[in-house]
Amino acid sequence: MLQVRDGNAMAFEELVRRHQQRLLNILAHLAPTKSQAEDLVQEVFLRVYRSRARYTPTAKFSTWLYTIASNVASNARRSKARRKEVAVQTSPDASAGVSLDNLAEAASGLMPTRQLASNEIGEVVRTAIASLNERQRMALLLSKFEHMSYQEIASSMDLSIPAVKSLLSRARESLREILQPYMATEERPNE
Amino acid sequence: MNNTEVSDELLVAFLDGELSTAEMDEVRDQVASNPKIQQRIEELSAAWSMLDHLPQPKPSPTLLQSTIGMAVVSAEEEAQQARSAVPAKSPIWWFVGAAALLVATAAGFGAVRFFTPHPDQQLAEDLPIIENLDEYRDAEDIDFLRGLANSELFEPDESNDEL
Repeated sequence: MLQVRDGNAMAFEELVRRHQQRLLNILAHLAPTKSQAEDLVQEVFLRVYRSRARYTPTAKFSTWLYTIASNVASNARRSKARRKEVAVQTSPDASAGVSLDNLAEAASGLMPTRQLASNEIGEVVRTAIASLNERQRMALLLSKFEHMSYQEIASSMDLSIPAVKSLLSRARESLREILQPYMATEERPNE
Repeated sequence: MNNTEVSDELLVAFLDGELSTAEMDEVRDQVASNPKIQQRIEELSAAWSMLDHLPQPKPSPTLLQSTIGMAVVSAEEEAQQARSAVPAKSPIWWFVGAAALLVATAAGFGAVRFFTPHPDQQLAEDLPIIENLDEYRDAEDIDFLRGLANSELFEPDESNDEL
């Protein structure tokens, strides 16, 4: 990033190449579609580029990057709310065969569980994630996939550490409740 | 300590390694001695592990290029803004600048006039000599001429007035 700050165009390309997958992994669960998630990814990198002159390495680059990502995601959500677009879908597409209602039934024990294939578990988990509010989702994903500490998550999301603790606690408890019926049927990923 | 005394927040922080050493030891003791707490820990861990099954979408093949393209456009816009960001001076500053230039010009002119004598000035000063140059050439000694000038030989003769 220091090279980008100093005007190295190749360094910026390398930065995008290294971080776009990771950014997409996070933003894909904060945007309704993959296409919109990629738009958010581009917006994040554009903001990184435009603010390159002001970058100072006072913290990890990833903390700074995800601060921008958090702002971009929040702005997109607020903008969408203002335009009264379709709300974030709470049920996935029908082809996945998984909805929040299904998950609720499974949690209540009314629906018989069965051995799930890995991709089915993926859909179940994706739906469970979608049931969390955006801040819970963001904190959870940063903790899980970016291995951020509570301090780093707090910096990125402009929250206090106790607030992050509370967010993660509620998020993980919600996940536990929703996914409990599927835990016994989980297939291990290929090892 | 029973099941309700260990909050989910504490258990999650325990799993994330975000507790102090003393707190970690305390929770560890609770987990070891309380089956319900142990079950909650296991379920929280299992749900956490299931996140590994989350689909990870691959970026579109054109995402990198289009992102770089947008940065290039941004850089061009920045350059354009820098070129057109010459401060627009208000008319008053033009007047101030012109007045300063005028004063500087006048001061410079005056200084040149003061310190550089006019070429004709020297001629004017030398005019009496130039007018009598032939006579001065005939005189061999300038001191002799000075002495004549200071003498009384060329005082006006009052006696000639009666003639």
